[in-house]
Amino acid sequence: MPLLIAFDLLDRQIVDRNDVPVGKVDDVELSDDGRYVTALLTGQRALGARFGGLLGRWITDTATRLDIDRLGPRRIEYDMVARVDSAVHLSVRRELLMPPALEAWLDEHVIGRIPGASDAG
Amino acid sequence: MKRLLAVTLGILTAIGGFVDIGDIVSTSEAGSRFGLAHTWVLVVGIIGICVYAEMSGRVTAVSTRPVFDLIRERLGPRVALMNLLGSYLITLLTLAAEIGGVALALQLLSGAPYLLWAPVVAIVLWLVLWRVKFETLERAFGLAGLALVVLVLAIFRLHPDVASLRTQATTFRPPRGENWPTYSFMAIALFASAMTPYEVFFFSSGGVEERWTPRELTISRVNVFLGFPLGGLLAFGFLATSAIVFQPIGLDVSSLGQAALPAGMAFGTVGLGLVILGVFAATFGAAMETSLSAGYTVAQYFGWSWGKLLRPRQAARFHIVVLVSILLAVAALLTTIDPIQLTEYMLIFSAIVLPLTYLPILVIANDRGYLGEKVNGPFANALGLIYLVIIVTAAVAAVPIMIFTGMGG
Amino acid sequence: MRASDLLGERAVDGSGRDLGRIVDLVCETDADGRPELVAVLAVRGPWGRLLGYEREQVRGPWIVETLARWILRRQMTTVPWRSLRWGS
Repeated sequence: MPLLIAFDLLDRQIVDRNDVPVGKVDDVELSDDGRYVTALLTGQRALGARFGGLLGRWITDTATRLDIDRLGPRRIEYDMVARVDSAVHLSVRRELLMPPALEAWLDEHVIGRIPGASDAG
Repeated sequence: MKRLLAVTLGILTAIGGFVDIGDIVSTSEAGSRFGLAHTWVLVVGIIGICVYAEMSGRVTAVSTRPVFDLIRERLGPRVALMNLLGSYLITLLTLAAEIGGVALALQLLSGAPYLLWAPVVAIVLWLVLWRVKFETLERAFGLAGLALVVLVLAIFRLHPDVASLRTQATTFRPPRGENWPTYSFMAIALFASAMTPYEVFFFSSGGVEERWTPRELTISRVNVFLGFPLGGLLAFGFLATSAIVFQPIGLDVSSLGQAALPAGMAFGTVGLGLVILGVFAATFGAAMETSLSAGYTVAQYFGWSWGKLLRPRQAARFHIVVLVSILLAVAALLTTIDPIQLTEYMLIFSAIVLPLTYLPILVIANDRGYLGEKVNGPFANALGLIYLVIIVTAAVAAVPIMIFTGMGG
Repeated sequence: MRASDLLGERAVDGSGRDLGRIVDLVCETDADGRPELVAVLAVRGPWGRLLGYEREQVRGPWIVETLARWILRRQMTTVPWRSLRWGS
């Protein structure tokens, strides 16, 4: 059954092998000649580029400022995708992927400092 | 017992949806000005939210995904962003009003002005959301909110003229002293308050927090068909007691204290105490519902991990959004804007946002990719469509009527 | 190259006929398991993604679906990759 990129992949939730949310498919990376799908792109940098215009640039700029290591948008190789149904299921755990810049920063500097941050409920 | 408690999600959602501070004051005001003339609006609203909450619950149970998550897939990122901004704004201002409502309930009990209570309430709210388990919150506040049932009992205790009440409820036009525009304004406000988007988003996200699977489909339905009519019944309690007590003397209810009075008249201090407890639980419950909903919708738009079941360190962005929302809400309150006036504005504006929320839900509930065999049958689709038409009508009529009547004055 | 670079672009076929804007990219899995682009869906007119009715799995409610399909069918074309030329 054919895969429709806009319908089946774009804007779909990505979950890791434990069903923990990773992000949305904000864009899809194609090979240089446009023939093959190489990776999923997720995160504000990818989303901003997709929006385009003033709004898009603003979204990308705020994300780029947090990207101190200049890693670029979060990229998930397509071969890590196990299956696509109501979500895009990866075959790997979230920890093995590039971390989202904002989440990591907040975790370290804000949330992580509040007592009880490691308790679920 | 466990089964009985399994419906507390529906009850809490319904309480936050039907008897939050805005509803309490608008239904009481409606009762005092129009008698029981708006009963049919409540009934229409209850059926409407049941139809769509059932769909949302079904989508969540079968696909294990919350409904707002799927809205971006359906509408695309731009339109879904508009939807997000609209819902977020309304939810935020409703949150402000709810914190105000809790503070007002505390003012009734203590005499200290509500503005002093507001920051305290905000801090307690955030602490409760940070530390207390979702399930415990559901049960405690859902059940405490049921104290409002005292109002329904008060209807009988006040020995009303049943025949005249029946006539009021079945006369579908404004009573003497009121005109069609104000009658319609109230109808739109009450309808919008029964179907506010955060109810379905919260219910659906709550279903994910409760780890629903297709086996919980029946539980989801029981939650809907028990919880929402119950919430509607409590709202009717405010409507009817105000109609019985205030309409004959021509007093327009505009404050929480007035809305609580009939319970005191019927059952004395006990009645008053129960009603204030119920109002406190309902508005605090609504405050929890709206602050969590604010976090849920933003996180679900961007695809972030969210929810209370994860350790906060794994869902940092979600918790920050909840925290920031509470802070913004308190800041809005401290500008001394009247919290009750605030909700009335919000109700009308939410009427405008409703179609953007409910059309995608109807479409999603028909998608075999998400629901397999459990897609909408013709009955659900027929009801869904009818209500979509009603929702669009209300949305289109909302602003002109608001301007024309000067906010229902 | 990203999918967003292609989506929304105007497409013109070999004879210069305007096919509208690209709304979706169709992939088939090749022998190595990689998704390969084989065709694009182009729609003439202002409608892009219309609530998902391009797919067969989405059905009903009857009125909404019929409206959506009526709008789409009139203007949607599936264009094999080879036949595409990029418009301006």
